[in-house]
Amino acid sequence: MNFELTAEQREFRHVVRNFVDKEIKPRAKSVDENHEFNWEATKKMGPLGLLGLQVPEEFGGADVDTISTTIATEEIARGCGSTGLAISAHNNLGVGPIVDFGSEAQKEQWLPILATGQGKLGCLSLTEPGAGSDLRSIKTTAVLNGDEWVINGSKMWATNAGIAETIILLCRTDGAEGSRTLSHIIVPTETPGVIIGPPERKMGLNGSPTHAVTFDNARVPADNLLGHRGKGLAQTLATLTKGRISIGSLSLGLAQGAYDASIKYAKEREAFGKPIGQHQAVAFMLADMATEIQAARHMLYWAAWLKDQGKPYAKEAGMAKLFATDMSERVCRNAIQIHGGYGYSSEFEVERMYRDTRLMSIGEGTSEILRMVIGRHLMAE
Amino acid sequence: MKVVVCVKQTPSTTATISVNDNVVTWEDTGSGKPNVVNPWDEYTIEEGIRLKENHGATETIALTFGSADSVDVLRTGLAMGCTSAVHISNEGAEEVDALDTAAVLAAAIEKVEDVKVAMCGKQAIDGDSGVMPMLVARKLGWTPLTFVAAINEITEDSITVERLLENGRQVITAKLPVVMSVVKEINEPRYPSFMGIRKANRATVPTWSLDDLGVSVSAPRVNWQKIYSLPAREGSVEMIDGDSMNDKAKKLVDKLFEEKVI
Ligand SMILES: Cc1cc2nc3c(=O)[nH]c(=O)nc-3n(C[C@H](O)[C@H](O)[C@H](O)COP(=O)(O)OP(=O)(O)OC[C@H]3O[C@@H](n4cnc5c(N)ncnc54)[C@H](O)[C@@H]3O)c2cc1C
Ligand SMILES: Cc1cc2nc3c(=O)[nH]c(=O)nc-3n(C[C@H](O)[C@H](O)[C@H](O)COP(=O)(O)OP(=O)(O)OC[C@H]3O[C@@H](n4cnc5c(N)ncnc54)[C@H](O)[C@@H]3O)c2cc1C
Repeated sequence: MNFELTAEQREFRHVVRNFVDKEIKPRAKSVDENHEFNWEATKKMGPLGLLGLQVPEEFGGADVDTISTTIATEEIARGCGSTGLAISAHNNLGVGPIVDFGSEAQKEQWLPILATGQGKLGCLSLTEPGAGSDLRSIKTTAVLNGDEWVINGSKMWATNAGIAETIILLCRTDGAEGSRTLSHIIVPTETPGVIIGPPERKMGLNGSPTHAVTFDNARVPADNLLGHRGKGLAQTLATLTKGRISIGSLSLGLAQGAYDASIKYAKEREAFGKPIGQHQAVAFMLADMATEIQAARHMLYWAAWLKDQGKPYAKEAGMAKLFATDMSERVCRNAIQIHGGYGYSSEFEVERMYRDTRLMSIGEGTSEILRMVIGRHLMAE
Repeated sequence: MKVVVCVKQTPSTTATISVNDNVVTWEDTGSGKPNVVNPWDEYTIEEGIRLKENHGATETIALTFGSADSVDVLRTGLAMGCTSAVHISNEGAEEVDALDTAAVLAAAIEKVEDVKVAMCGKQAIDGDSGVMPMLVARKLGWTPLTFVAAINEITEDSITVERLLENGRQVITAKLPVVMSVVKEINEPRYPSFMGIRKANRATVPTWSLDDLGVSVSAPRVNWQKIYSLPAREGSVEMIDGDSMNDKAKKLVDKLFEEKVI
């Protein structure tokens, strides 16, 4: 058993941390306040490899392991939750399925643009106004007409849609209902008939645009079918399983950021003649935060390691996300508590982190759905 | 044409440094990496790589003189895009003064062969003497070009650069080979890429000993007799009282005159 990161992983962490401290963290407050996506930093991520974390090198990616991906995601979210979500959604949801299920031609067409930052980002659109946790209720349709798919329907909550090159769409490619008629189709955002709504107004993560997308007779080549016809749901579940490690890492990063701010504040701020961190109630909060962060990090690394070893990891990824997202909310909540009144002020970053982390127990599998998934695994063992 | 970039390993800028009984130690809990590439040398590496990318240099070789652990900075250089690297071991020469350091670097640059441009940073953030470029140039008998803020042109046998001086920029042309020191205005260093890091981690970096270079170092001519931390700065705060804003401002200005701040 070995708990050490490899030299390569340590170096990745150092480089990303450095990048985040210089390019991402200083802009976190303004991207949130101005509802702006941090394009400037994103453009610099391409050459670094952050936009093609698990894309093979031949297509311009960094091709790092899942542990390194976890590290990168944590580090970005530590600096800025919004940028973290956008980049994690890009890598895992927008690009991952092309790597995992794409044909050679699709990989050649899309990966170099997406992974190097030459183009815009990737996006995966599953959720509909009437179908979130229950993806079997999806209504958006794609009908094959000659050598084109004709797409109609409405999607909700598509992260990155407004800043995306491509949307991977989950839709019905055969008339029947149920889970066997769903497929993935790659839709370039430029396609006529793809209507991307204005960014949704949200509680947090304001620097990561989320959009409703409407398809009105949008036509794309038949070759844009991604993976197998009728296997869209299975492909989605495989993608979301990986994505859980990623959302867990975002939560971890936000918690770490909130903890870092808290420990600093607890050493500086004095009350009743001593630093507040020397009052037991505050010290205990810090102790709990550090302990839970450590536990979450180990759970995430463990799930990532299992995946890198080619072992089953769905249950562990679910557990890691479930724990990390709830943990992050507690940590960010207590970070505000430690900051007192200032913590409630938007002048202090913990206020933003608390709002940002709230999404994590909802997106890519709610905590309730995850408990269901974990429970099923346990009962089947 | 080969380019050599001299890279020194220094404590990271965020490290906390402590001194105890003349012994300096440091750690960096935040970044987890107490030693890094001397920040000024990031510009050196970047410019060295650009000479390859834009000015027809055939190779950019990173060079460091230091402990076994200092190979790390060479890997950063490789990850950013240097073609190769050489580590000169300081084994048996842990305490070296600037003059001998220059002799070592100069001998290594000669051993690389066919080098037309050797580059240094403006200064090292630990030693801070800023003398190395001149010393190395003198040892090699090459032209020193310090504080270079832009490289305008390189021909077969000459180089034209802009030097950043206190009262402006000076454009000069010199015959190759040269030893340069570069300032931060010269470029914006790239981040090492993940692909680069992987390649760098797999690269073998040769180590040359002082014997390989035929250099022997003497006892330091400058002795560090005592090392101590500066006493913590003392300060006090005075709140200025007054009946009105104007009154307060006037009192403040008077005080500032009194203290000779303005
Ligand atoms: C900021 C943001 C970004 C997003 N980005 C994307 C994206 O990029 N792509 C995308 O496709 N979607 C995205 N989503 C959508 C997100 O994945 C869904 O909101 C999520 O899956 C939940 O679906 P829902 O909102 O329809 O809630 P519902 O499924 O309606 O759930 C409502 C509540 O019921 C509970 N519930 C539902 N079913 C069960 C059950 N069987 N047992 C117990 N409880 C249950 C849920 O846990 C939840 O508490 C995003 C959402 C947000 C807010
Ligand atoms: C353990 C230890 C003990 C020492 N003891 C003594 C002592 O007893 N007496 C004494 O006089 N000095 C001593 N020194 C200082 C040492 O000699 C200087 O650090 C060295 O000469 C370089 O000077 P500088 O750091 O001021 O570099 P600068 O001249 O400020 O550096 C300018 C540039 O030169 C290049 N450069 C400098 N050093 C190196 C290197 N090692 N490898 C590659 N490139 C380099 C870099 O490009 C750098 O940007 C000691 C240093 C150490 C680490």
